[in-house]
Amino acid sequence: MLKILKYSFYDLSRSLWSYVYFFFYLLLGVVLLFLNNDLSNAVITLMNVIIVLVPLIGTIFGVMYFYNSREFTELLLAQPVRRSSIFLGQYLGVAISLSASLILGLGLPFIIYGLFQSGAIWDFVSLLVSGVFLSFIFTALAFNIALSYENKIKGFGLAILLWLFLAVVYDGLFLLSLVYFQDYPLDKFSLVASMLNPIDLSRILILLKLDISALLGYTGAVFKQFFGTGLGAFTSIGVLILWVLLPVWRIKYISAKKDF
Amino acid sequence: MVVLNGLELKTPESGIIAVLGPNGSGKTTLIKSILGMVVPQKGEIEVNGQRVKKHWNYRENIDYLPQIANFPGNLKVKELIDMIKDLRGKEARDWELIELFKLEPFLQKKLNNLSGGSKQKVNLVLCFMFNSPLIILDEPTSGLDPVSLIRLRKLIQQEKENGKTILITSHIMNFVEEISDRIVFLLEGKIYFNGTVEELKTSTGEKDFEHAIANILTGNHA
Repeated sequence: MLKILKYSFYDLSRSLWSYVYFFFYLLLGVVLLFLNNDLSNAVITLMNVIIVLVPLIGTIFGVMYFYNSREFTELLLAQPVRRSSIFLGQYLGVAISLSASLILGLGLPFIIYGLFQSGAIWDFVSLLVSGVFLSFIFTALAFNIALSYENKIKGFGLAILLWLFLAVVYDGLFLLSLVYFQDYPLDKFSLVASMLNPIDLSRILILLKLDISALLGYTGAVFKQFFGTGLGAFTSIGVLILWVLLPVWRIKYISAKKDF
Repeated sequence: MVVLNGLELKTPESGIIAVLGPNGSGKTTLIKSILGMVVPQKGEIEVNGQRVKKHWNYRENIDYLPQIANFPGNLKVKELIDMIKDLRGKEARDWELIELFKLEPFLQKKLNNLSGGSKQKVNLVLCFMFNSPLIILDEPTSGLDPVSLIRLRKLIQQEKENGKTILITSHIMNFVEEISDRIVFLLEGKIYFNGTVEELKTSTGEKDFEHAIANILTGNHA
């Protein structure tokens, strides 16, 4: 698997899009830090960007890479390599290179700004951790979609719909149901509902770390009340790990049965 | 979709076996099943006594030439060859073959920029560079110029003399007639004929190989 990972990573490291993605974060980091001059403000703004953008790029890039590397995959399938290594290697290649763009793109300006001397380093780390989680989760979901649909247009459409649903529609529905059922106790419901959406979950994770109760919102407040800050962060990381493992397991499962 | 159904085929130790059949008769599916790229719904396939299903090591002993030379387009020819060598981790005679097919000028070119014939030559190098006992060739002649075709024919004969088993599909009948020891004729996923070229000619009553094949096709499917 490591060899496949190596070649996928190598392939992606020569792709223009990896660099566009990297420079975007670099620019964003530089602008936010050096024009704003406030580290924790910058972290909050970045959170809002990351939480929407990372899943979008993860899904699109994942689907695109999978469809584009079909030839490579077919070539590998005839070689003495385990099937699961081919797909997991490619998946890790995409997820790691996206994460690397994120970490390097945001990390460099923050280090130059003097992050290590500031107390905000752990806030920043929690931001990167959730960004990396989101990259891994949404790339895995994208691979699931691409493996299930031969038709590229269908695959792309579904991937975008998935992103739209989890990033935008889900919150709307969630809010609507909170308003509609406001006469009932909703703590458990909102706890479960936020765990079912990795984007909400990472938002809560970052906000718990930042400890800004004004921004936590209802779910965050319930989370904090239910778990406390430490346990809350711990639980949300646990659920995020599950969000990575389940789609990855399904990649393995579908790819073992698929005909090429 | 059922492509191959009730197909039972055993191949002897060595020699050249040609799998023939009209378009869509399941030749490629048969080959892909042997390679484990297509997972059979029922039945067993064994290569050298090793079961194919859920295994992968057996592919160490197979060299495969895919029908359509699809390669990752942004790689250079040399990089692709090195990559496959690295993946296999086996000794390879790539230079000998690069020279044979006169590929040196293309080594630093990207695969996207190669013509169909040159891609096929790269395909052939990748396939023949390992010394595996079983060689599977899916339409090896496609896109090749006459000179390369002669070289390929020689190469295949050589490999046969080295005691290898070679499985070929092709639409070029005189190519098949000249090189194959045994013909397996597939029709709608079933074996319609299995024997030597001579047996085929006598059983159909045709003197010409091409006509004998056409006889099977028209005689039963007009």
